[in-house]
Amino acid sequence: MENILEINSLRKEYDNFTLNNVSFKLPYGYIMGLIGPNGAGKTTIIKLIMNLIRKKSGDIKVFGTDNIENEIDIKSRIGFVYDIPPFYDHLTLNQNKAITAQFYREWDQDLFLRYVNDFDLDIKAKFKTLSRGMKMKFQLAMALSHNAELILLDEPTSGLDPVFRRELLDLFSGIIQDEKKSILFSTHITSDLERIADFVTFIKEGQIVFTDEKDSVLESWGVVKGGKELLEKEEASMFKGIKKHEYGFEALVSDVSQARKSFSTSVTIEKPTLEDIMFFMTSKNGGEDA
Amino acid sequence: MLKLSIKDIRIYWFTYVVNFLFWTIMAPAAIQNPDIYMMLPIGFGLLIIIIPLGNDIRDGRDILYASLPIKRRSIIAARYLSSFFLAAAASIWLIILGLAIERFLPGLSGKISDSLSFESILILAFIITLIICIYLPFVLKFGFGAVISGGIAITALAIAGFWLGSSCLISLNKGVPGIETGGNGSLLDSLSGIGIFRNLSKIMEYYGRGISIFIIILVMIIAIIISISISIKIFRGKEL
Amino acid sequence: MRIIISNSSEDPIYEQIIKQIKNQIINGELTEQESLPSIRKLAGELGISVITTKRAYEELEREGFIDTVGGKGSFVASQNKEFLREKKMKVVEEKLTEAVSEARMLDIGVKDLKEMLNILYGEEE
Repeated sequence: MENILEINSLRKEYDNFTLNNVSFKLPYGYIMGLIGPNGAGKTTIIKLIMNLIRKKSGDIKVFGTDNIENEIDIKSRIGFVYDIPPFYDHLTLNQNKAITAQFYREWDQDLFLRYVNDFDLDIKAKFKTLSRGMKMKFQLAMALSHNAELILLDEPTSGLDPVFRRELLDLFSGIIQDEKKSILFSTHITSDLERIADFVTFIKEGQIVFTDEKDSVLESWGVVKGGKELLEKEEASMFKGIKKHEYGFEALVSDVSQARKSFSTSVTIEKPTLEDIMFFMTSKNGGEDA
Repeated sequence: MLKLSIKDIRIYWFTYVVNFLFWTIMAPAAIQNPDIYMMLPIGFGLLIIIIPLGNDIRDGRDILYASLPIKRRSIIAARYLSSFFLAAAASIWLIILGLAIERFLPGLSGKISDSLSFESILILAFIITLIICIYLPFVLKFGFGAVISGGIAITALAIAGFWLGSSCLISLNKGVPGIETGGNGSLLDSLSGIGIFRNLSKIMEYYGRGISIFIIILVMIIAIIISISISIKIFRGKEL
Repeated sequence: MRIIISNSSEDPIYEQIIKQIKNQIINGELTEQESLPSIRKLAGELGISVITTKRAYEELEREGFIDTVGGKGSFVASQNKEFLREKKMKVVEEKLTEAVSEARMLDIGVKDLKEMLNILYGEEE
């Protein structure tokens, strides 16, 4: 599997936040979800890939080449969808398209119109009159109409209704069918990734907690429930994000087989959702054992 | 690059039309004094640059262009190109308008054509060029807050500086043939600004027309080169 | 071909796919040489990860149920009669193994189990 995106030891420093030692890979033809709480660094990573901000150190390779050395060529092959759409409010969709599309050498007008039609957009409408969902759809139509191979989306589904979110995910599945395109999208709505993501990268406070095949993550992590007396045991150190309640506790473990070995039938171990993982890992004692 | 320069017109054409109308209406008011009239293009040119620039910066449009397959330095170069183009268009329009008013409504105006000459147009271009060369990097560095206040400050300073400087220059050169200062040529008289452009042209003629023109153009070119280099450097390092 | 994924099942999704395809091959719903959807098409249709379907197909191939020909796709492997019968036996054997271990845990002896089997078969008749 060749990698469409390779990030190595990426570092970016701000006054009160540092992105540290971020590394992950995304092969051609797959979907990766970048999850993490707000402020974890997801947008920072996307901005670094697009060279909107400068890295302190580390490597970013897109399509096999350095993202700064080959910036122009790479950008012509990337479709981007930002959290805040960067288009002109007082212009119509068509006018916005006209300004942007002229810079893409492989702009496909027919394809664009097809998306506009599928997404039910009125290209004569002024951009500012659109709802958040419509604005996102327009960005997406733009991003998909110049034969982009890597689609980067920053929080594309937040603020959207569940129906559209589902449709969007189906759209993503369709896009990667030819094995030549990949999608990276950041989100804090993990349920969206549960189904279609092939890979998941979890970032918290600027550090990668894990990056792996989604299936592997969901198989090796687990939600453990048991009686509070178990927390006294030494093996309890494997519990992350312990939540105690009146009648017992809940916690997360990153290695379910190890948990089974240490605790066997004294605990219930359940398959986690990505949301569970995020929830437990971002609570008080969930951090350090990452 | 051309596409980038033209984009502002496509986007902000309505603003430009409003500007044109505004200044067209202002023109007859100023036209009594040809020298003040010759300064109008400075205000007009600047306003026409500020508004789209300000909007773009406030709304973060740079993020859009920086995400497209465009080099950052092209974005800057295009901005200079469109700024100069717009300022030139504004100036040409006002000059033509002034001449037209003089020709068709002679009662309203003073003698624009007296102040108008190759030299005075060159001086105008010089001032505008310097303003743009200082303004663009300034705004780039200090962002939206500087767009309007910076623009007004720089223009005011430029006009004041020009006025004062020229008056001094004229006063110092009152012996030069053809200079008319409307008094006994002291600095105070020069400050009235009467015939400022005419006088400057005479001075230039006196010291050698060719040389003066050459020096002015040379300074303009150097200013542009330095300014663009600074702007590109600032923009290259800008975090968006 | 029919694949129904349950998100609430204990079985991981790839295992559900494996089981269902296996069963359909064994009971003849999917015939020999019949072509299967590509892993990407299946993933797209089911709205799941490509890696999941890939894994399912790889496992099915390992167990001899399907063949994947590069460039052409995946097909139900030729099943000889013996092989098929063996597979069917295996399915039942797995279920019986589960039953036996449950029985042991609950202290039910082999005689009771045999009786239960008879009754159950009798019911089917």
